[in-house]
Amino acid sequence: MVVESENLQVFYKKGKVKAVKGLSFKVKEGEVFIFIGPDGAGKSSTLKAVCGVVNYAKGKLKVLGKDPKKEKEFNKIREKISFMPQGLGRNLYKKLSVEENIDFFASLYGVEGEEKERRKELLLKATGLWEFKERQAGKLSGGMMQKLGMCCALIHKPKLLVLDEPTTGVDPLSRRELWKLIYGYVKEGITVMVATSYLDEAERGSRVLLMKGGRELAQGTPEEVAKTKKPVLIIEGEDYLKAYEKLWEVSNTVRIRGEKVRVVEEKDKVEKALSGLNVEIKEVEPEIEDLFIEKVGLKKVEISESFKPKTEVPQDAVVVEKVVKAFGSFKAVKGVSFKVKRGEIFGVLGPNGAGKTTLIKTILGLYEPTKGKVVVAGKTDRNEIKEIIGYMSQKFSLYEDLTVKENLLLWGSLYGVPLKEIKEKVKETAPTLGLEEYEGKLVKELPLGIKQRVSLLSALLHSPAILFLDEPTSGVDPAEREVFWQVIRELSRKFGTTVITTTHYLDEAEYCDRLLLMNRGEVIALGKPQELKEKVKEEVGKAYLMYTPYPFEAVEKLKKEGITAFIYGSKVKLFLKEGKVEEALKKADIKEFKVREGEITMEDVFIYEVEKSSRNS
Amino acid sequence: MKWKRVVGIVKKEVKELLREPISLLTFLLVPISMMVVFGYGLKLEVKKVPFAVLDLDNSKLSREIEDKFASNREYFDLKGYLTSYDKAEKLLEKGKVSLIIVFPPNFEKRVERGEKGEFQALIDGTFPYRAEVIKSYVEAISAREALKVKPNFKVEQRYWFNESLNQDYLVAVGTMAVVLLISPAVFSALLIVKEKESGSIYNAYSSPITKGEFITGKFLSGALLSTVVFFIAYFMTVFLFGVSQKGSTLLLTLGSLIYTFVAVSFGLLISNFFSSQAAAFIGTTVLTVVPSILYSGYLTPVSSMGTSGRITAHLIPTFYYLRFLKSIFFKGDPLSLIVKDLGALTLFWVVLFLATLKTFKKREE
Repeated sequence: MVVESENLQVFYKKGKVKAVKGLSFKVKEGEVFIFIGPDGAGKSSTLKAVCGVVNYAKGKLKVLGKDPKKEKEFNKIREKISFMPQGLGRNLYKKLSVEENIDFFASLYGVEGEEKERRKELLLKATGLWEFKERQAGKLSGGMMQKLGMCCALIHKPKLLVLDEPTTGVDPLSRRELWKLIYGYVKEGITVMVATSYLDEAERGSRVLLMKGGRELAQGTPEEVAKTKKPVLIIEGEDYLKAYEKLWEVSNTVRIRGEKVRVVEEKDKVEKALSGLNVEIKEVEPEIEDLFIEKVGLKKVEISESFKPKTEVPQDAVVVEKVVKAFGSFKAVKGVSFKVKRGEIFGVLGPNGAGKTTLIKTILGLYEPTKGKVVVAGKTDRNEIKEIIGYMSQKFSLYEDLTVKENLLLWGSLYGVPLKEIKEKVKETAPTLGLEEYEGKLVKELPLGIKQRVSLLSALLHSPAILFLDEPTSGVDPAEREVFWQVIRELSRKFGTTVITTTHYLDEAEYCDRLLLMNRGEVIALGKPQELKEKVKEEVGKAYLMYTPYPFEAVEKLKKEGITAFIYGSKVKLFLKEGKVEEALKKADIKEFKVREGEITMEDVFIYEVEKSSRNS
Repeated sequence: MKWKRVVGIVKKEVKELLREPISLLTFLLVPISMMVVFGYGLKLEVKKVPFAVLDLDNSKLSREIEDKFASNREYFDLKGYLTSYDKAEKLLEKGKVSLIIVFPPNFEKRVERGEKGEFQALIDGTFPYRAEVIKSYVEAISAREALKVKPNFKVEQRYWFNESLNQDYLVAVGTMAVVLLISPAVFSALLIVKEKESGSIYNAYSSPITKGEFITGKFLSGALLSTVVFFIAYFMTVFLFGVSQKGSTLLLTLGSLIYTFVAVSFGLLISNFFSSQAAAFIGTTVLTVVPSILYSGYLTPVSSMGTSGRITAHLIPTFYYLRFLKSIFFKGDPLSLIVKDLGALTLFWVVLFLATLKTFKKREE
């Protein structure tokens, strides 16, 4: 056993803040143990306690047989542990070069001479950083920084690698590469503990601990953890919207996904409720999100008439025509064209540096396009659109030292809304958004999810016809996110508010009507989420998940056969265009396996399209 | 103690400093500008002292002496003649004049009779330092006139070793003492806090490096880089301000390095109590600037302070270092005479360093 914990509790500020409230788990050698949960779940504190970076308050904890609380004893085994803190490149020295960073870590851990050089070369080559070894760490991209952080953490060949949210803020392509690296180290015999707030990453672990508010929600293999009490059903068909309304009467787990409804409920109950509707009910494998929603429960959100846009917007709400935006000789956006319809929820996706932010700023009128034309709500004059649009930024433009109410009054007045009207709107909306009890609180004291809702409300006070969102729900739990997107959907469906959102959180992409994928300033795909997935399916084939005791070997064998395959937790994910999957696996000389059909995720789409466009250019 | 780790830290710090243009600039510019601003700007030299005369004797001799003051235009500025004590007092109170010279009736006659001739100098004592300087001027002139002066407060001879009475020299040496406390302390305080802010402190928390190795590494980085500051300040004092040095350069360097070690240790100690660079910067600046300027004997002679001030002065390393610097620059005292000051500084260093070790936690709070 590498780590053993019993009723672990971690407190801050002399016990005033309780981050972890009793957590028991065991990490075996060679495992990829994932702590998963929204921001503030207590993941970081748990990992820090394991690494002896904070003292735990109560309970028992043994790491490689030693108690982290006893500094003297624990310091002897610190060289067997590596800790990478949360935040892009947080353990790095930004002014030092890639190589100098590694050298510094080597000196900390006493790795010297030939051993150091050999190990450095191995790590840097595996991560593709070898050619950048002279570059300053601060000048690397987010994904590269995280890779370097991992190299630094691994220079001394630790037994236990502890990674605190290594993939947060990293685009999907780099995320997948990071995971590939992690599995590579597991192959070398390293035990890995990872924290993540992306629920879809849970499947990548051999064991998962789902957390919320410092406590465990579930623990086990990804499949065990995702196991809901009631079955997970998908309802699709012509009447799916009617079904959505009906289902709220029998369940509090109703969600819309594309043109389907997803619910965790007994099948007969659902069938009864939906009798007479033209829909098809299908049971699917539960995902961690389903479990989370089942445990926490949802509430239906209603939006009052007062948010109906005051301005009529033409059918083509936003028109972008051959827009080029250049900064000097660098072209951030290279000729992008698309139209967003009135009432549509439109997503702009892309890796870091794809040109998303530049594009949005050009549409908002903050940048003048170098070439091309932007028409917003039928107008080309930037000054005329200001009152028609609302904008919610990733960092929330709220004043931390003002209360929720003060912030809302301020933002509303800045947009010229009369105080009386703002107060009425807030009064009407606060209960459905769950903001009532927070009105008098300072913004800095709010939980992340609440902050996001306040930020959204502040952008909506002037009833904009077109709403821009910048990575709106990063880091919040699925229930919070659901509330947020219910509001957005209500606005769009009921009042025809047009919504444009940028994101590299693929969970958010699923909420959009249409998606625009960007890479290196160009459009690489445009369509409904389902269409994009279908297209990938056509081009690379169906997705399968294979269970095998030797996943690393299996991937190598499949690659030799020319089959796209990669490690996915303790499983292998592969794509097969034609023929039976069992036969193909046998042909690749894989003996022990169990295989089932998997889903093509938005991440698969994203990575496929980005790689394709990068190959072509 | 694994020295490789310590050396690793020192190398890292030097590289980081050299690559950060802004911190390098502040690192060099702060001491240089402080030396220039204080060295040139802080004119402690007292000139054109406004004064008035209350001549109750109105004799030839009294007028002769008055004339000696009035004709020395560089140092004295005659504002006028008075007729009564009341007016004299009022003028002093209002700060119109800093000095009033009073000749008693029969002053000349007494002198002629061979008795002790006395006249009075009333000096504005608001700034003791200034008052003392004015007093020394009066003394100098009256000594030339072979007359005894009866001052209105106690006299202590002070500027024996700075014969030319060049206040600029004193200011330069004092500034050097102040700069060598502030600059290394502030720089060192940021050495640890910047890692807390960026998150790289976790490397120290989670790796096998010991408290002692980490703090020693930071201390040596601070000390090494502060040596540069010492040489800058020293060369500016000698070459820019032209202070001639009587004592040994070796001793001066030794004492100065110990003093910068004190400053570095103090900065590191402070950094244990702050987690943001801005707070650490302000905290260290306040805690070094105020005591080193006010209580070290830089602006105000310690001898003219009250008991509490004098006790405070003895708790501040700059007091000992300034005394040490004056000994070396102006007197050229041998080691035996300054060993006490060096001992005090070493004690400061050891105590502060140990306190830093004691308060540094290899854990997050």
